[in-house]
Amino acid sequence: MSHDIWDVLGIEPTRDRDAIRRAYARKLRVTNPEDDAEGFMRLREAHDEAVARIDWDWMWEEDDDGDGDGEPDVQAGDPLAAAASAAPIALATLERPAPPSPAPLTPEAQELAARIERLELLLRGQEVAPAAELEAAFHAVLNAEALEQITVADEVETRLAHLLLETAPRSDALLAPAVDAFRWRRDDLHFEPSAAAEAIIQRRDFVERRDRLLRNDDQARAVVAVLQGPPTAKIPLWRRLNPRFEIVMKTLLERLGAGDGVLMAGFDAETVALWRRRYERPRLSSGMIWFTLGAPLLAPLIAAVNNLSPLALLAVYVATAGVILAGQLSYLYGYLRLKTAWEIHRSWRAGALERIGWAPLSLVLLPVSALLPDTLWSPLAVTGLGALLLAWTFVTTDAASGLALPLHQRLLGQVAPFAWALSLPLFDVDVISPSMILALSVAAAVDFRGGAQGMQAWHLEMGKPLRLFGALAFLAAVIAAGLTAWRMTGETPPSWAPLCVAVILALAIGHRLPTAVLGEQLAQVRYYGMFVLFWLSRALDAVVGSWLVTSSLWMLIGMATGVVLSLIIEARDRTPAR
Amino acid sequence: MIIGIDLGTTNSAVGVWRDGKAELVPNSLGAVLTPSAVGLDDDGSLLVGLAARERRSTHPHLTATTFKRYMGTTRATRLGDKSYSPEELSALVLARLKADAEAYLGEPVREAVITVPAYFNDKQRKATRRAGELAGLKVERLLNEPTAAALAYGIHELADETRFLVFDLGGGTFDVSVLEIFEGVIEVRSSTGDNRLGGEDFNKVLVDRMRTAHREAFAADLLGEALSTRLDAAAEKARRALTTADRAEMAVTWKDQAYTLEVTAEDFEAAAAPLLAKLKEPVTRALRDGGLRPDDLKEIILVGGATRMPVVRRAVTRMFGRFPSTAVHPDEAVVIGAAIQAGLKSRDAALKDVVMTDVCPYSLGVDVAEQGPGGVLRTGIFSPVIERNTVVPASRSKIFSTMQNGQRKVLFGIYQGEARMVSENVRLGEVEIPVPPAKAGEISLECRFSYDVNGLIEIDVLVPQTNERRQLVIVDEDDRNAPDLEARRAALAALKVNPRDTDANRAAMARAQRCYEMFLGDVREHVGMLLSQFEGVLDGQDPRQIDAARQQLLAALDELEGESFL
Repeated sequence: MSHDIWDVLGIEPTRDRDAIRRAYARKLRVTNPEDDAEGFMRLREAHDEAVARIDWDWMWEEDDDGDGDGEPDVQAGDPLAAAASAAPIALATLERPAPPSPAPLTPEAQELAARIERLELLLRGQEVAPAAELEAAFHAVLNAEALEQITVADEVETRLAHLLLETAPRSDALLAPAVDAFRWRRDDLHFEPSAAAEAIIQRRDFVERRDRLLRNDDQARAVVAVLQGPPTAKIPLWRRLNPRFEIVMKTLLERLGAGDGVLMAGFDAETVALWRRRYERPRLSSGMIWFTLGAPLLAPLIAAVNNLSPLALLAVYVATAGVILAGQLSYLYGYLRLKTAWEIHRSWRAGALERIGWAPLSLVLLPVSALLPDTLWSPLAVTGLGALLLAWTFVTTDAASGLALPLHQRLLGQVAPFAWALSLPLFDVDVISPSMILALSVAAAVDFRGGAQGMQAWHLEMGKPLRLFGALAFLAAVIAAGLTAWRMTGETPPSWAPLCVAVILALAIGHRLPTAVLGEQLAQVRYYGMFVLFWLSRALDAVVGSWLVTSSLWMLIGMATGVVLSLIIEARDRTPAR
Repeated sequence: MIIGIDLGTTNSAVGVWRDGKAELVPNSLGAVLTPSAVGLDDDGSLLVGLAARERRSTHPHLTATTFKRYMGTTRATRLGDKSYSPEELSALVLARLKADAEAYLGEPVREAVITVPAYFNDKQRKATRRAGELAGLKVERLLNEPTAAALAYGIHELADETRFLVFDLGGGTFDVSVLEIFEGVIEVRSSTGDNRLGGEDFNKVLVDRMRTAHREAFAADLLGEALSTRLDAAAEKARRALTTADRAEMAVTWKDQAYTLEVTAEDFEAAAAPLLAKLKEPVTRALRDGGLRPDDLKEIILVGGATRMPVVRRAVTRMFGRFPSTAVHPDEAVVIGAAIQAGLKSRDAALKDVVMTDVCPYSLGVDVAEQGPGGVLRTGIFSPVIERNTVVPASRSKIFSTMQNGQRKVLFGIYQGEARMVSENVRLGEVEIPVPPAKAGEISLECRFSYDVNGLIEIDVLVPQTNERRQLVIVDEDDRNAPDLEARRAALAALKVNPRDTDANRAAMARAQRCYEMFLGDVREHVGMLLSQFEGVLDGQDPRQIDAARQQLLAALDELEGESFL
């Protein structure tokens, strides 16, 4: 409809705002909002569009007959919005506003000017002024009487914003009071802070976070020291292998990159650039190195069961570590291409597997592993299958997509089953085989990676009654499996107890799917379910003593640990978003 | 004949457009303002207006005031053995105003334009309209108060090309509108406000001072309604006194003991500073939204009783660096505007070239979810469809899409407000619509919001792929069945309300009774004597004598407590 706006207004295409307004007013007599709502809306839209087109220079140059039906908002827009969206706000690009016109000043205005001058002197002066004095001078400006006038307040706001920005990092202590006083961060959809205010908010958040980190975190202190120092400074290897050091370094580099000039004040540009280059290259993370060193320990352990010689154990360890390292490197260099290929060739209907995710398959692996005979080949087979599943999960799912959960929630689902499973041998219960532990690790890793998104989505579609039914069915299954396991233990031949334990584990891991969607509430239901299980077995214990009772206690402890851990992680994560 | 009604928090008024000008309709007491108060008399009938207001401090449990603040909620006020919703209480006031207009015009009145604070939301507007219907009035139009005030001012400025700001601080609400007049069109450019700020809040400042000053004496009754209504009345009186004087005395009689506190204008200004600071934000917002600077404004128009306060005037003067205009009467501008709108509505010849356009003062939209960094799903984000200060009537649509693979239905929560998270905004309702299963983002939904001149909303959701359509006209439980409304109207009409012709006497009696309780010693005895004399004359039932005696009584009371401020 854009081409006939001039017909609606009844004038020739024009850039004359007054002419458009006059035509609009004339038409309004006929189509007024009271009698002809539809007609009025058309008229108003035509008016708004005509007024907006005044600023579209490209349109008037190329297409003067006014029927340009092009893409309106690509080139339209005011310079402010453009400035705001142009990513890095460098200090130099922010123009200082013209100083207030030298009109005859009232006494209040003179006082205000004097106070601002004093603040500026303190911020720009040779000597660093004490914080208290700086803050006093700043509040003196804020409390000036002349500031009550709207126009004056606007001018002072802009002027202070630029002053604070230019004098960073000396003005850092004043950023928070300034953001509060001018309410630069207000919860209003239509409020767009000026570029300077935006930069100040960014710097304030950054400074706040940095200071908090510096207070509490030794690794963060080390990172900041490195980035503030000369590029030649050496960093001990043990620090670089610390995952925390790595995380802080990466986050800080990312933050510094985003804020550009605003946040760089106080850091050494060359050092920052150097470290950014280092981290941009494919690089074995500290986590990968630890995994390469730690994971193969499992292999000799399994081999030890089969009475291998120490030399053979070392060989197994080195071989496994080599395989893992190769996997890591191929992940770093080749993985991306594999992933892109997958992205290109899949369709969302591709198969049930993708839709429900890889988690169910990994869960099936658990009972299967329980049925395998206790030889050297079983763990190896499970490892092979598990590695394939895991690799495929890495390729097909994106940790940062779909319904992936915060870290603490993901951890929550894994701690308890592990604690329980690993505690069983402590009670001389011979139901857990190395294969089962491996299968459990695979299931947990697949789940942790977000392999169960499809199932979560499917779960979300179910109605509430169905979900409740699912939760109850889960509890029933756990209890049934537990009871069976208890009854079967010690029976020869054959005992189904390991299978039952595997089922319990699979359920415990698999049940994270519904809880992921329903949040903490259902997660709690699960814990209550464990309580029920515990007390039920407790009651049975009065009749027959059994391993189930004691081990259930351990399961309970595992669950409690999970809750506490998740709470700790959540508390630490509760930093302001963005 | 359409009448224009200003239904205020403290006072209401009614006007008509006749013979090319707005006329204010006096009530049975001869005054333009009718207090928005409803009370229960000793004989079980209802009192509306001044008589009820006068009884507020002597019979706090039998009097309802400031109920407009609870419009659109289900909060019930108990008067005797019946409870009343805010809209029923408003309906009683409206019915009284309607009766006044009918007496003045000598013809039945069925239609009205009623003003509402610009910042009233959909629920509050609907409740106001229902109140009108309960009072037997067809509500032709709900008009924003600052817009009405602007009409009252602008009708004389039509020839000019001018921009001005209306600063409307009433008893309970604060509205700011920026307007432009060009070519005979009165255009509201932006409108904003704070619907929890008004003269009553300034009273509270004084009440708090009084409470602190006599903490021990009031300690036992701090939460009691009886004491607080008395304190309110004393504060209101002192605040009004401070309009002209440097100092004023707050006096409260409680349990036959007189408590006083002297307040100076400076004290008051200092104590009211936090409230005054709240005035600035809506003003700057209205200016920014209207795309104007303070220097572009020709005038700053003050409207609403609370703008009489010198502290408020000074604050406005400081804000703009110049003096505001007093071109319109702060109490009457809104009702005059309502009368003009009534004239516009009935297509009066004198107004045929006047067109006014208003805006929607708040944003309307739906809640959406967003994929945050790290894949975390952030829900409850507000996505506006109609932005605030869009010229109304308006109809806007926005396209949304599904969030998950195989999603089966989409639920839109409808919200009003300016916060980025819906939890901070006002929830108006919800629409649910089924969608065919597909990959996330493949199904799009068009959500259209329509906002009419009365500020009422309609929502229409369409799934283009299936042509599935759902509509939501936001309706409250009460609005859903008309027969119910009819029954409630009948019930309300059946209530015994004291007749107009004895209203003046009842009000005078109530005032004398209040004075009796307020004064102590000799003065109290004197008031008692005046009261029994007046009762004697009332028993004589001679209208001429009664009128004379009432004038006498009121004059005597004026002498004792100063001119009545109610």
